[in-house]
Amino acid sequence: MHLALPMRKSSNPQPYAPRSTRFPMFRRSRVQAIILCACAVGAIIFIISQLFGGGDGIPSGSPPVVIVTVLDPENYNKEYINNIKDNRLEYARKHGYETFFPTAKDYLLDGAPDTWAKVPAIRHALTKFPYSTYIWYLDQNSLIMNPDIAIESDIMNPKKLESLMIKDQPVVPPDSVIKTFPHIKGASIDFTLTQDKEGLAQGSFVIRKGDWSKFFLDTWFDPLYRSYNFQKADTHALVSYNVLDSLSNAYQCLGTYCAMAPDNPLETCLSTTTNNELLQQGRH
Amino acid sequence: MSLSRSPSPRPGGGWASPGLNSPYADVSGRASPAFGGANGGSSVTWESAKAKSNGINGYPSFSTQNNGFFNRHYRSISNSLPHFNLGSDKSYAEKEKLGRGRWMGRDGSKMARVRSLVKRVGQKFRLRYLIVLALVAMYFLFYWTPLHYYWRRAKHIGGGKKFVVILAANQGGGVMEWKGPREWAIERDSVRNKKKYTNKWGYDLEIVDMSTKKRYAHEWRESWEKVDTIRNCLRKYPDAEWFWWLDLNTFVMEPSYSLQSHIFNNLNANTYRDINVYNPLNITHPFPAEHLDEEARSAVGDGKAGSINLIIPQDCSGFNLGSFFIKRSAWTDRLLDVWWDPVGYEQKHMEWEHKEQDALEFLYINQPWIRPHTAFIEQRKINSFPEGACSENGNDTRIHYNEHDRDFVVNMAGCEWGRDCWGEMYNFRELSNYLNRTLWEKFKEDLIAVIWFKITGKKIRI
Repeated sequence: MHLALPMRKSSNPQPYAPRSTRFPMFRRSRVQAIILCACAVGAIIFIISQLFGGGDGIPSGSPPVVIVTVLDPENYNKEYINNIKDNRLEYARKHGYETFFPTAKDYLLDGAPDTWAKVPAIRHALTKFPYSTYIWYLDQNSLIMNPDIAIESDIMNPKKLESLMIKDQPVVPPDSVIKTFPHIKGASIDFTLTQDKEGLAQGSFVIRKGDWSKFFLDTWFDPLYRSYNFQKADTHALVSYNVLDSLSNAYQCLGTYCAMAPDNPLETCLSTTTNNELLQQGRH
Repeated sequence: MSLSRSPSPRPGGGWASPGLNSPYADVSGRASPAFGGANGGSSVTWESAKAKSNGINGYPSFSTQNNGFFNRHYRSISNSLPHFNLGSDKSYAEKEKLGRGRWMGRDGSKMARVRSLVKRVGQKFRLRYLIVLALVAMYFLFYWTPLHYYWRRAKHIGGGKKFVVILAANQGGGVMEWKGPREWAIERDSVRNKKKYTNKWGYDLEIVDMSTKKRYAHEWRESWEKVDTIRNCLRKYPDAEWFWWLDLNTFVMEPSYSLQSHIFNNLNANTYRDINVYNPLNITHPFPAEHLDEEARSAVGDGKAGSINLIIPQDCSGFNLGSFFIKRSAWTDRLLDVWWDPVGYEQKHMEWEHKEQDALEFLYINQPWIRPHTAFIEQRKINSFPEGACSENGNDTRIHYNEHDRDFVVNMAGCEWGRDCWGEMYNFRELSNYLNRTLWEKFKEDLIAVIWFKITGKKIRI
């Protein structure tokens, strides 16, 4: 309704000022103050969480790499074992890594050869060090020769890995039908191992933590694999090696995650198989 | 206009002067003059005026009125027709008339009556009528027309696109076995039942031909193709999240249950992670190993609904894969890989009587990474058995179908071994129809037919 003149005000003044809203708490001036306070509190909480929480919930100071070596104190003399341990510990101290030395007897293998113990050992390491990104399994018969090379920056760093890995080559060297992928991003790689002239070498490999690693280790450790009569399984020590072969043959998804680093960096720079006599001695 | 002589009317109509005659008298340009004039008026020309006055004056040179049936009823017939006044070709004589080119309801026509009725109904009532009308229209749009299929599929409204039903048809058929009429009837009924169900809720239905193909015909590969089929479906339906495997011998008894409301809206309450709740296989759970991580050693995984990737019912002898759910995920990809793995088949195919089912049980028992993502569901939620199956210990309320509880799906498991598959299928189909009668059907059958029976003593089927 449009009126020419505004309505006339009531001539009797009200006895008290009318309330603007139902709740005096929310008067305009107070609303502003409340909003400002809420923002400030939110900002403080955010800063505190940033200071103390860390990026992915990983506490600061957790080692990026864990070196796992399954020891066999029953068949090897103490001195040898201590030397091996010292070698790992020194390297780990240099780079801020962690070491983990279980023995084969720590795990239930259900009659499978002791070499199988590496699988539950790595799984154990994943459990014990949940914030470490990489697990490096290194055989008891290997020595770190060049301690300057760091796992996470010189090998597993995606850019570096892309230049190192063997692409489009047979998985088992001479004539395997399965070939490593020609185009694969370094960032998507969960598992790195080397080849020797007989096939996949399993004395030294790196696994990245994650769901895939659990899947891989659990599958590898399946009793059917442990009991399977693999073709080349003439010695017990080679059984798990063959499982690895058969896994890479059987699984499509392993193919995508598996990067084959050429023999050189891991094998000669980082570790080298110790003297053959010791190995023989250990086995018998 | 200058005329050589003063215009004079001619006896036949029109004017003797040529300038006055043609363009104005009849310019419609059509062989027969258009019936013009919105409000019952036609173009008034000299002829018509003259003819009219002739009729009145009683000097008919020739009669144009009341001449035969059509002329007499012309107006009443044409009044009932919708009437368009076309703007382009009409006589100049009615140039000034308003309402050209519009559809005009004339007084006395039905439209006009409806319009006046609407006018008389008050503003308030009009709004109410409109709301009721809109509701009715929406009901028809969403529940009757094919539209309801699409809106139930839509991502945020119905979400039916997220579910795919995989139906294994033609089991063991193909080159291995001839199918008789009963087998065909089972297949027809089962497929029709699932089609109806998936159409109702907007799910996708994938009917898989499970005939024994040569690819799988090695002795240890028969019936393992389930894995391959799921993989194909994962590829075929990239939008889907959950895949529901159904054997051929299943029947959806309650098509009114949607998967969302029945199971997935409250996944945690409808499933259980800890196999100790019902453990016919006596599996040691949690996994008996110290070296595993916390999640693998916990009885319920991480306990969140989001981490469930596989939902299996258990019958009296362990897992039952006649009806189960699997979710698209990286975990599922890995599971399908291991499931399909030849090392297991090669060693165990003679022992594993239930083939892929035993393989899954074996994987569940031996590979800890599987447990935190597997959930179990009470069997009767998706896989009730008829009394013939698992019948060693009599009727079990955890296993067997009960029509009073309106179980969702019945699975006639093992009916091909010594039981009558078609008979069971037929009975359950009829029972489902009976239980899901509409109000009208109930009225006819429970009231009219009963009264008729009492009066006449005859049973009728309406």
